[in-house]
Amino acid sequence: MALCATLCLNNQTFSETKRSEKPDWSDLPPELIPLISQKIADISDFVRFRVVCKRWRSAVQVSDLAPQLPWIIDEFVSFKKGYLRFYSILSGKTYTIKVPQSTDKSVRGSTYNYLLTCNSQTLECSIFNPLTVEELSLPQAKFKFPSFVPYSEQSSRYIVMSKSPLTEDCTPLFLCQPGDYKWTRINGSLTQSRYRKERGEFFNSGFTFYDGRYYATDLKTGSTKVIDLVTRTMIYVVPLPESELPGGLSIWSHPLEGF
Amino acid sequence: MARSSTENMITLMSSDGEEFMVTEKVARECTTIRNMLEDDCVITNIPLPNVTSDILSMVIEYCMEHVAAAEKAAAETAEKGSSSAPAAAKANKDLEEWDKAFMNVDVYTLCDLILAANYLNVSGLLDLTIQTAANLIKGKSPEQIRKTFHIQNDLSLEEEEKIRSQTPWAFEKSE
Repeated sequence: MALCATLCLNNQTFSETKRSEKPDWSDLPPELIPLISQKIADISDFVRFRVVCKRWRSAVQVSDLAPQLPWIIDEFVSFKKGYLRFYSILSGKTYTIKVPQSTDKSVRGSTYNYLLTCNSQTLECSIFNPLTVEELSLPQAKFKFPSFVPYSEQSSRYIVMSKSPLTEDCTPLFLCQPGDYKWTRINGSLTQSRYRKERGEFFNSGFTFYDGRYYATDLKTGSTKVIDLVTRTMIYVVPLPESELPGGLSIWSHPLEGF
Repeated sequence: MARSSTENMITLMSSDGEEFMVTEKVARECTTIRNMLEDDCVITNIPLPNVTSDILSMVIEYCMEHVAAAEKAAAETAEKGSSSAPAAAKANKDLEEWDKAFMNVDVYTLCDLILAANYLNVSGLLDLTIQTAANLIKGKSPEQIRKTFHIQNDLSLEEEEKIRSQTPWAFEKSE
């Protein structure tokens, strides 16, 4: 009936007369809204997206943020000044982010979306998200200037590793995660004194994480140590094959996706 | 276009009672319809109470274009024995151009297309429409986004100020 009446009209009028009410973008089913936010590549667009209206805000969680290209940290600007400065590779913009001011706190690395911080006076350590200003305390470091090897397997779990620069004839690994009250020492890691001078190298290139395990290749002997991050123990030492590999050693983490 | 007489035709009926005859192949682009057909293969008439005729005709247009592109690619591969990379790249680019032109719609139509693509489960169209919406958001201030999508700001001044003060860096320069 309605069809007969409108057939003689042109398409434009036809569609307009039929549409009783215009769709409301703020009324999209809540499961569709994160699909849009997941396509937003730039984090500042994402933040502004979540301020548009209440429904969009409640439908999209901070965790719906699409994977981001890394930001470059400006090391000359630090907690001392009360703000940090970042450069976004994607947008080409520089962002200045206010942080609680602290004279002795510095960024010692980064893990997932957190920065690792350490206070050189109190030796208090934490992981800190500069965007949400969320800070999770780590146990106090026993050593001044710990070198962190950040690790995160999933967004809800962070493990931070450090080597101790204090001891002379061994370089034990320490690890901890937010909520711990002390660092766990991994026994048996790099205990030979002859590595004393080279131990820095151990950390610089020879480690990776896979499936809850930490693999560290000793650059001098070529053996690979495998540490289980759940039980926090060294589970294997894999020696290098008898026919020695020439040249320097490093470790390669395969891009497993796509197989 | 001449279709083989053996090809099954399906009638899709829009919420406002308009009927659209499409080939089963085109209808199967909608996963929702494909599942219906797999459950009951003799079905020939499908009412779609959530989709108006103007939107349904656009969804069908999209599905027909994509089916035609896939058929053309398959025919070329069969003819030459192997697909030629430059030809395939050109076909892809042509289809992308077509998609881009197809997305030249107002935001109300875009919203209806998202809802229809979601309801009919046309993954390519859902992806295209969602991407188009995301592109409209890029680089805009919240006010500009609201204006673009005709959204009422229901956040109180205090609420908005509070959010802005937590992440002031995200509101620099863009406004």
